[in-house]
This record gives sequence, C-alpha cells and structure tokens, in this order.
Amino acid sequence: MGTPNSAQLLSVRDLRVEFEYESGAAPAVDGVSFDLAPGEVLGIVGESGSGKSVTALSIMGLLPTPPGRVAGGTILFEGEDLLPKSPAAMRHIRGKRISMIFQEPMTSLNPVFTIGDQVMETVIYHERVGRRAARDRALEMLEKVGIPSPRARLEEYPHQLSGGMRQRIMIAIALACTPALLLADEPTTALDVTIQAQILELLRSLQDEFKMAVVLITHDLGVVAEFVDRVAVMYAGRIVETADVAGVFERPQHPYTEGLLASIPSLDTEQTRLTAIPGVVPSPFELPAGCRFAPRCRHARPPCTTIIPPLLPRGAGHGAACIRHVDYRTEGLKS
Amino acid sequence: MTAAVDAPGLPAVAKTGLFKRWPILRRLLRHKAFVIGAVLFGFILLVALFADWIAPIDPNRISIRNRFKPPDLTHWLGTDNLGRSQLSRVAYGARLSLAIGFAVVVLNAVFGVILGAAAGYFRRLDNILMRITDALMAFPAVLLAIGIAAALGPSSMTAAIALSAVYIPRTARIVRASVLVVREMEFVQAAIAMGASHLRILGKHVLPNCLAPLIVQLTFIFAYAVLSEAVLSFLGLGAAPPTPTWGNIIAEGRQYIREAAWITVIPGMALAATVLGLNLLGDGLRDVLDPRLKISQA
Amino acid sequence: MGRYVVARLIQSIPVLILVSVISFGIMKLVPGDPAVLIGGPTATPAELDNIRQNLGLDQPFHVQMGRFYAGLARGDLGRSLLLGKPVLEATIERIPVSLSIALYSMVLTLFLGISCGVIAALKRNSWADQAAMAFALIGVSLPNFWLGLMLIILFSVHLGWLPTGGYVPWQNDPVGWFRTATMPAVTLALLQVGLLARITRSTMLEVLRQDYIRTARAKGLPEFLVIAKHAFKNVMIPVITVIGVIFSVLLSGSVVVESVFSVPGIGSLLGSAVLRRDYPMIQGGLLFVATALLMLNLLVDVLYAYFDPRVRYDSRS
Repeated sequence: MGTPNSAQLLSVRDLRVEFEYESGAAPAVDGVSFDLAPGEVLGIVGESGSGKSVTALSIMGLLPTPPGRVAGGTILFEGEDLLPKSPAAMRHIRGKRISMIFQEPMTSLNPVFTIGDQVMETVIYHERVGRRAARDRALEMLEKVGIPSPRARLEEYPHQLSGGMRQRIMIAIALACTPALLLADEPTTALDVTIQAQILELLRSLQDEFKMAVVLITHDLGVVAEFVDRVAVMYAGRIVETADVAGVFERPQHPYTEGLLASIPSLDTEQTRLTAIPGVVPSPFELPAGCRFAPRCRHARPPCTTIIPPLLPRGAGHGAACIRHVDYRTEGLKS
Repeated sequence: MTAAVDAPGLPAVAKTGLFKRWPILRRLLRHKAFVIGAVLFGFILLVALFADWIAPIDPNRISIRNRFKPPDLTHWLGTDNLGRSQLSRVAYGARLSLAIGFAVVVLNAVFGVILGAAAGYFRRLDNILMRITDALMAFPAVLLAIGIAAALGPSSMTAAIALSAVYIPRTARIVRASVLVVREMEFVQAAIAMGASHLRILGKHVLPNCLAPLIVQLTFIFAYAVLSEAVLSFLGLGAAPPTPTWGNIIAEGRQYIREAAWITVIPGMALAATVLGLNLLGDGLRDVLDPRLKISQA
Repeated sequence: MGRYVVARLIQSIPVLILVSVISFGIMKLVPGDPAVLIGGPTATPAELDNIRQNLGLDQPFHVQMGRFYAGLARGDLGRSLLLGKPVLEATIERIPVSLSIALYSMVLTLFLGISCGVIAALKRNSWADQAAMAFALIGVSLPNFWLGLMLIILFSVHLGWLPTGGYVPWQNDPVGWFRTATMPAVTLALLQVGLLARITRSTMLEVLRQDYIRTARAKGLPEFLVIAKHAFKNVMIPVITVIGVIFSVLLSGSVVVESVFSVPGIGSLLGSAVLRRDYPMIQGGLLFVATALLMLNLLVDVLYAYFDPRVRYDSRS
C-alpha cells in the first residue's frame, strides 16, 4: 500500500476514524486504504457497523464531529489531500466534484421546499448561474433520471413522490454539477425490490453517460454483482478482501466474503439476515484482538486471535486479510 | 457496575440501601438542576412548615411605631405600612401558597387521573371528555381561573377550586395520552385477553405505567398553581386581607413602592424562588423519569 | 388551501358552542343570590328586584339561557353594570390599546425567543446556551405583576426614564406610545421569551439531526444557508403552533399587567369588572377573549399550512 497514488482519482491511505464518547474512543474505521481510477466503480461491502458509511462520510468531510474524528491517514482526491482542507474549500468540492446519495430517500429531501428548488440550489450555488439557467438544468436532470412529467414535478414537494421517485431526485441533485465521483451509500436498501433494480439500472446508465467514478456502499453482494468493477469487503472497520468482481464471486479468499456470498438473498424472498454467518459485527468498543472476524469464523485457529492479518496478495489485484492460506510460522507475521 | 464505584463519597448505607431500592434517586441527585430546585423548594417548604417558629411575631400584629422599617437586624425583612413584620407575613404567606398549591396538585391527581384514564380507556367517553377539555382550554388558564374565582367569591378555597378546574383538563389530557400508549402494549393486551376486569387492568397495568409523566406534570402544576394563586390574590380574588398571601402583600405594598420598595420586592422573590425551584424539580424529574421527553430536549 | 380553512372553521364550531356554555355557566357558579352580591349589603329590596329584572335572574333557567343565546345571535353580549354600556362596545373600544401592546410584546417575544433559541442550539452547551436556558427558566418562574413592579422601581422610580403607567395612543404621539407601551410589553414578553427559546432550541437540535440537513451539507451549501434556509423553515413549523399559546398567555397576562401599569385595555377592563362584580362584563369578556383566541388559533393553523406543505396538500385534515 504505502504512499497514496496521485494518478488515481481517489486514493485513500490508512484512514482511521474514531468515535469519542465518555466511555472511551471507538475505532470505527481502522486503517482503510483503497484506490479508485476515474470512471471506475468500486463496491464497498459489509454488514452494518463495518465502517462503510463512516468511510464515505469522511471522504465528504461530513463526519458528525463530535463524536466522530479522523484520527489519521490521507484522502487524496484529484491529487489533493482532502483532510487538511478548510470547510470553505470542502464546500466547493462537495456537491460539485464529489456528490453523495443516501439510504433514506424518504427523509433525505427537505419537506418544506419544492423539488425544483432543491435541485436548482446546487447548480445556483456551485456554478453561479441565474434561476432560469438553473431551472433548465434541473428540468434536464429530472428527465435524465427518468421522472415522468418533470416540468410539473419541479413545483411539487417531496411528500407527493414515492420513495423510488425521491431517490431519483436525490440522484438528480447529486449529478446536477457533473461530479467526478459519486458516493452512493446503500442507495437501494430502503426501496422495494423492483424499484431497487430500476435505481441500479439508472445509476449504471448515468455512470456510463457521465463517465464518473462511483463508490457503491452496500451490505448486499447481489447488488454489487450487477454494477461494480471492483469490490472491497469491510469488516469491523477494516478491509478484509479486495478483488475484481469475478475474483470475489469465483475465488473468495476470506471466510467473511464466503459467508456474505452464501447469504445473498434470492430475488423472491426478502431475506436480509446473514444466515450463513452466526453472530454479529463486534461493537467498536469491544473489538477482539487479532483478526476481528475470528470469533465468528469457522476456520479460526489459535493464532487468529493474536495476529492482525494484513491484506495479503492472493493473485493479481486480489488481496485478503486472512492467514488461513499461509503458514504463519514460516512467513513470520507479527501481530 | 457497583454503587461503590459510582458514588464514592457517599456513606455505606446510602450505597447499599437507599440507592439500591431507588436507583432513580441517584440519577436525580446527579442532575444539577434537580438538586438546585430541591434546595430552593426545600428551603421555602421548611419556612412554610416552621413559619410560627421562624417568625414568632404574629403576622397581623400592628405596630404603628415601627411603620416602614427597612430590613435590618431587628426586622430581618423590614415592616410594612402598618408596622407588621414582613418576615412573619412572608413566612405565613409561604404556608398558604404551598397549601393551596398542594391542594391543587391533589385535586389534579385525583380528578386528572379519573378523567384521563376514563377518556383513554373507555373509547366512548373519549370524544365527549376531550371536547369539554378543548373548550375549557380555549380560555387562557389564568383568565378562566379569574372568572371562576370572581363568580365564587374571593377566598383561598375558591382560589384552589378555580385553579384546579383550570388545570385538571390539562392533567387529564396527559394521563389520557399515556393511557392510550400503554393500553396498546402487549402486556396490557394480554391481560385483556385473559379476561381481567377493567378496574384491575387500569389499576395494576395501565396507571403505574403512566406515573412518570403524571409526576412530572403535577410538579409543573404545583408551580403554575403557586404562581396563579399569587395572581388571584394580587387581584383581590384570593384570601382576603389581613390574611397574608404573597399576592396581597405585593398588592398592598404597591402603593408604597417609592418609599418602601422592600414590601413589594421580598414576597416576589420568595414567590419566584418557589416557582423556579418547582420548575427545576420538574425539569429534573422529566429528564430522569421520562427519557422519551429528554431526547427532544437534549 | 381554501378547503383546509373551511374545514378548520367547521371544526371550531362545537368548541365555540361549548365555550359559550361555559361562559354562561360561570354566572351560575355564583353562590346565593347574585343580585345581593351586585347590589351590596345596602341595596333595598326594590333595587334588588331591579337588578334581577335587568339581568333576567327572575326568569327560569331555560329562559335565561334562551335570552343569552338570542343575544349572542344578535352580537349582544349583555350590558356592563359598571359602565352602563354594551359589553361588546366597551370591549371593542379597548381593542386597539390591548392589541398594540400585545403585538409589540409578540414582536419582542418572537425576535428574542427565536434568536436566543437558535443561538443556544448552534452553540450547544456553551456559556451562551446555558445563559439562554437559565434565563428561560427564570423567565417562566417570575410572576408577571411582580416583574412589572420591579421594572417600575428600576426605570420609573430610580432612573426616571419612563412613566410609571398610563397609555398614549400611537396615532396621537408615537414617542409617548413607546414610552408607555414599552414596560408592559417587555413585562409580558420576558415571561415568554424563555419558553419560546426552549422550544426553538430543542426543535433546532432535532432538525439539525435530520437527513435533509445532511443532504444540504452534502450539496456543499455554506453553513449559513444550511441553517437559515433548510433548518429554519422546518424549525418554524412547531414554533408557529406555539404562537397561539403565547398569545393566550399574553392575553391572560394582560389582565394583571394592564392593571399594574394602569393601561386602559381589555385586561384592566376585565380586572376591574372582576373586582366590582360586573357579572355581564366578566361573562361577555371571557367569551370575547376565548372566541378571539379560537380565531387566532385558526389563523395559526393557516400559517402552519403555509410553512408545512404536507398539511397544505393533505385535503383530508
């Protein structure tokens, strides 16, 4: 890993985020590194509590502080480190170069302003254009995201739209200034299965059209298979496996990834529990020593509870943080 | 977690006995506002309880020689236009104020619970009772109390009745709201399914679960009642002079505001301390007993 | 929108009827013979008969009630015993006085309450927050008549800046109006500022936790726009609903405060009616005030609908 790669669009190195409470500091993200090329789609996968959303919010500079705090690392975006940037400088990146859409379309739009107002706002602020031009852009965006009779919708309020429509609006807002990077945090989780597929389809075609890079955060590997180029699997604040889609689906190298694959819900049931993996993600306050997945892992051996496994290469562009496949005595891993 | 770790400075008895039985007590004692409120209100309560001991002079003993004496070592709180001891008058005023406030609280507890529980539990009564409370609450609280007290004629009894009539609808609403929530809970539904009688369900399951908001509400009612009683007696609708109440002392002192401001200032401070103390107690109780409300206040 | 207003008007009818019943019923609470209380101990039997006849007390209950409602239908709230003129006329004469002070006080309350609440929420747990919240609590704990007297002691007796009381109509002399209206308005406002600040603060904190605020920040909007546009309009929704409550407290407070400052408004009219046992005036005044408040609450609901599109478009409610 080492130094961040400024040739990439986004290069995250050793990101560490802590949440500080009276009872102590909890590492929510613990040494996360990944790269993203322009136009590339990365899926970050993991159960809730694994640190995916916190990673995305850190990139956006929207971490709720306090209690959250970036404790270390770098986030290189278009060759510049975002972490030391002033709030004002970050504001010019947010919504313009990096956009984000969220899990809850029902509550993510302001209930007291019209759709048009909320789409136009970003354009007016970032591109210093007049209301008329902003309105034309908003109309164009609503058409692009597949809103029927967009002209009428501009005057409507969020509560008059369905969840799927609201997520389309959120996408329209996010893409209104043609960002280079879109962070999509569980964009389909709150939606019906049929709507989920439509939204993913829309994201994919817009990604293609806008040539933007996307980080898709999800707990659902099934969603990932449809859409992304590369996958990073997160568990308890760390990336445990990273590979291209084929690698993850065909040759998973981490027991956690295997567990996730085994629990992909079939289309006709609304199964969301990870039935294949017993137990839950440990709380950031009570992290086990060594491999954080060891307590739930059926392959766990004694050293797993003492050695923190690094991301070891398992083939071209494929890495897994698991000592199952190596002889830890001869390779001399230290905890 | 043991009590010994959490409350190191406290005597052993408190650690094992009192706090164990009422863990809420410890949380209340950690609530700064609650403690300040308890001290303020406790002070006034002591003054009221021991008024004849603290202020041995008859509050109505007139002494023309000692008119308009400002507060000093012999007359701690000064004297009024008739040379009466302000200390005695304010202390006895505390007694009457708190007595009326307490009476209003008791009446609110009894009738508020009966009406609120009836409205929340028996759906058929609900609509009628709630429309009546709507209408009563359409009048500004103090104004309605003034109207009722004016009709009944001035006395401390009418003040208590008028204030109860004004605040009972408000208490009933709160009890009703809690009953509506509690009656839908599974354990109550289970009791209904098992055929328990209405009274038993209300007394054993529903009401104990409405206690927290009720206690909070009654503390605030106590504060409003003391404040409004002062308004009534200031307007001449409370206990008639010479019986001292904070309100009528202020009303009498008003004429001498230029030369003897202390007559007006001191009872008002006692009144403000009482009401502030009760409000702080209410805030503390609400934060500790009713965590749902705390979230919205956080 | 129109349909919403009509629906709310219809809903207020049963409450209005009950309010009139209570106003009528208050007279019936008078223990013994009201005529004796009104006439006083020196009244002759002939005088008492006269009073009974004037008030219709010699009639059976249902006739009295019939008369009361027949009067209401004509806009007749009865005749003040004290002033010798119709209750409605006496009340309406004094509206400009009370209303101008109430509006002055309302402006003070809204400005101070909302700004203190917003600052307290944004600077949460700072000294400014704690000071605002302590002020809020002390504000609701002070008796308003006493606070008024304290202001008189300070600003009239000691500093001599303002007159101790009285009232100068705005149209006669705006400066005089300010000099006479300021202390009553401040007295009425101080009690409410705290209440409003607390509500504003907790609402603001609640709103700032909402997803749409995160969205506004994700758009890269400056913090000022996030607060002043996205948060503020949502904060105003619950705040508007308290305006009705605030006005109600203002009105009842005005009985005492107008008496303290000798302001010839509706409040002092009711105050003196109460002392002199002018029953028709008390009855009519209460009914008038309650009706005015119901109308105000209706207005508040309409405002509410303006701020919250969810209400505006929901034709069912």
